[in-house]
Amino acid sequence: MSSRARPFLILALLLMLAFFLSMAIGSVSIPIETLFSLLFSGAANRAGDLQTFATILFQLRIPHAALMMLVGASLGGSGAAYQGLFRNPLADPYLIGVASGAGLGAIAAMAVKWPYTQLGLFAVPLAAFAGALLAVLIVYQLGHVGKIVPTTTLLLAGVAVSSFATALTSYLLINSTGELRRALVWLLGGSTMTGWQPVLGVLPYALAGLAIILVNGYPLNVLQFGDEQARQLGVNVERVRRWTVVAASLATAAAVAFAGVIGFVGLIVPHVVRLLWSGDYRKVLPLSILGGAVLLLLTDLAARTIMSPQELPVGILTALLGAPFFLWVLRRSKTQNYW
Amino acid sequence: MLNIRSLTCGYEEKMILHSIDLALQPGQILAVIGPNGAGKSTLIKAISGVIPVDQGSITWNDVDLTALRTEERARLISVVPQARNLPSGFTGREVVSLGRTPYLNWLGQLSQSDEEVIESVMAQTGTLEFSDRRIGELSGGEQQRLLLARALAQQTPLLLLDEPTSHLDLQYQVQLIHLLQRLIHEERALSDKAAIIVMHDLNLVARVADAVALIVEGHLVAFGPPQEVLTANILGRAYQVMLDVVSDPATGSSIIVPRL
Repeated sequence: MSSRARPFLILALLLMLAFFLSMAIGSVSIPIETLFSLLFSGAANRAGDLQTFATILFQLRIPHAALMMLVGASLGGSGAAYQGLFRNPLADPYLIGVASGAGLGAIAAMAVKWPYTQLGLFAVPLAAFAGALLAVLIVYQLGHVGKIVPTTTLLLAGVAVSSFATALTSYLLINSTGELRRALVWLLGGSTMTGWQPVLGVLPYALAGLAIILVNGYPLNVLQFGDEQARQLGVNVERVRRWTVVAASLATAAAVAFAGVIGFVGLIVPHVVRLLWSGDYRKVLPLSILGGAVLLLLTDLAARTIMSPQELPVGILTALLGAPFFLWVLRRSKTQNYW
Repeated sequence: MLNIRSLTCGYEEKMILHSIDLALQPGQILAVIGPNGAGKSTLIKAISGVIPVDQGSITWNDVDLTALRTEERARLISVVPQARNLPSGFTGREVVSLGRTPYLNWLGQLSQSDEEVIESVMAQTGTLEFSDRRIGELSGGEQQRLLLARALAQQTPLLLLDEPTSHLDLQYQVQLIHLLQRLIHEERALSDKAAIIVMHDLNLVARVADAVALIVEGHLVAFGPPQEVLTANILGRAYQVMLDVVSDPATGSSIIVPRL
C-alpha cells in the first residue's frame, strides 16, 4: 500500500464501518443477519418483522445516514477551505459565523415557506447560501488586517456576526407561530426531516460546492504564502478566492439548510488531518471531506443512542466535543503554526 | 530588454512612485537604492504585477507586462521576497517546487523535468540539505536561500530581488552575489537573464551592479553606472548624511564610508 493512499484508505474503511453501524443501530436495533438479508436479497417474501425492518432501514436509516454523510462532508470540506482562504487554522463555518448566517437565511425562508413543499426545498438552501455568503463577506471585512485575517480579529468578527444573525433568528422564531417552532430543534442540528427528500435536496449543492473546493487545492497551497507571493508565482488570487469562498459557503449552506447549525466539524476534522497526515491542501481538502462524513456519522450515532429512545440534536454533541478541542487548538496555535 | 517609461504607481489613496524611467539590458544587474520608504519595494511590486500601474508602461522585449495574465507574467518575472511570515509547515523542497506553479495544471502535478529543475536550483543555491526540513525550523538566511531557489525554479529571464541579503551573514551574502554574477554575467550568452536587486549595502552595490537607480521619495534622482551614481555628493544629499567615497585599490570599485 503506497503511503499516499493510506490515509484515504483508512478513512474510506472508517466511513464504511460508520455507515454500517448507522444502519444497524438506533432506537430499534436491526440484527446483523437481518440487515444483510435486507441489503442483499430482493424485496420479495418480506413479511411481518422483516417488512418493518425494511421500512426502518430503507425509509429512515439509510437516507438519514446518507444525509449525515453529505452534511459532514460539506462541513469538513468547507472548514478546510475557509482555513486555507483565511490562512488561519481556526476558521470554521460555525466559529466564523457563516453557519449562523446560513441559519438566518434558512429561517427567513422557512418563515415564508416550510421546506416540505417543492418551493421550500428550493428556496431554503438558496436563502441559506445568501446568508452564508453575506456573513463571510462581513467577517472578512471586519476581520482582515491588510491581506491576512489574524486569529483575534477573525474570531471577534465571527462572534459579532454570529451573535447578530442568531439574534435575528431568535426574533423570527419568537414572532412565529406553530410550525416554525420546530425549527428550534433543527437549529441545534436535529434533523427534522426524514426520508430521501432532504438527501436529494442537499446533494446538488454539496456536490457542486465540494467539487469546486477540491479543484482549488493547489492554488490554496500557494496562497499560504500570501496574496502577493501567490500572484508572483502565477496564481490568479482573486479568482481562487472568489471560487473558494462561493464553494465553501455553498457547501456550508447546503449542510445548514437540511441539517441545522452543526458546529466544530469543520474545525476538528481538518486539524486531525493536518496532525496525522499532511498540510498539503490537495490532501487536506479531500481527507477533510471524508473525515467530516465519518465524524458526523459517528456523533450522530451517539446522539441517537445515548438517551435512546430519545434522540439528541447532533449539534449538541459536536459542540460538546468541539469546544474543548477548540480551546486545545487555540492553546497550541500560540506556539505552533501549520500551513 | 526591460523598459520602464514614466511609471507612476502606488495605492488608491496615494501614489508612491512618480514618473520613473528605467531601462535594463539582458546580462545586467540593476541595483535599486534609496532611503527607507523611498518606494523601492513598490517598484518591485509594480514590475511583478502585484499593484496596478497608474500611468506609464513596463515592457519586456516590447511585450507589455501589465497586460499579461498572471501565469504568463510569472514565466517572465520571478521575485525573491523578504523572508517574513512564511507558512512554517512547508518543507524546503515544497517551497522550491512552488516555483514551478506557472508551468503546472490545476492539480499542481510535477513532471520529471519539473523535478529536475527543482533539483538543480536547490543544488545551485545549496539548499538540498533543507529538502525535508520544515521552513519554520530554519533560520532567516536559510529561508531566504530557499526563496531564491524558488524564484530560480520559475526559470524567468527577469529576476527581482527585494533586499535578499539583509538576513544573510557575510558568507551567504558573498555566495548569493557570486551566484547572481554567475547567472547574470557569466552565462550572459546562454540565458539572457537580467536582475533588479533592491539593496541597502552600498559597498556591495558598488561591487556587483552594472547600473544603479537611486530613488528618493518616489522620484528617480539618479540612474547610471555605479561610478556616476555612487558619489559623495549624490548619496550625501539622498541619505542626508556626510560620507566619503574612496576607490578600492584592489578592485577599483567605490567604497562608501559614512562620517560619524
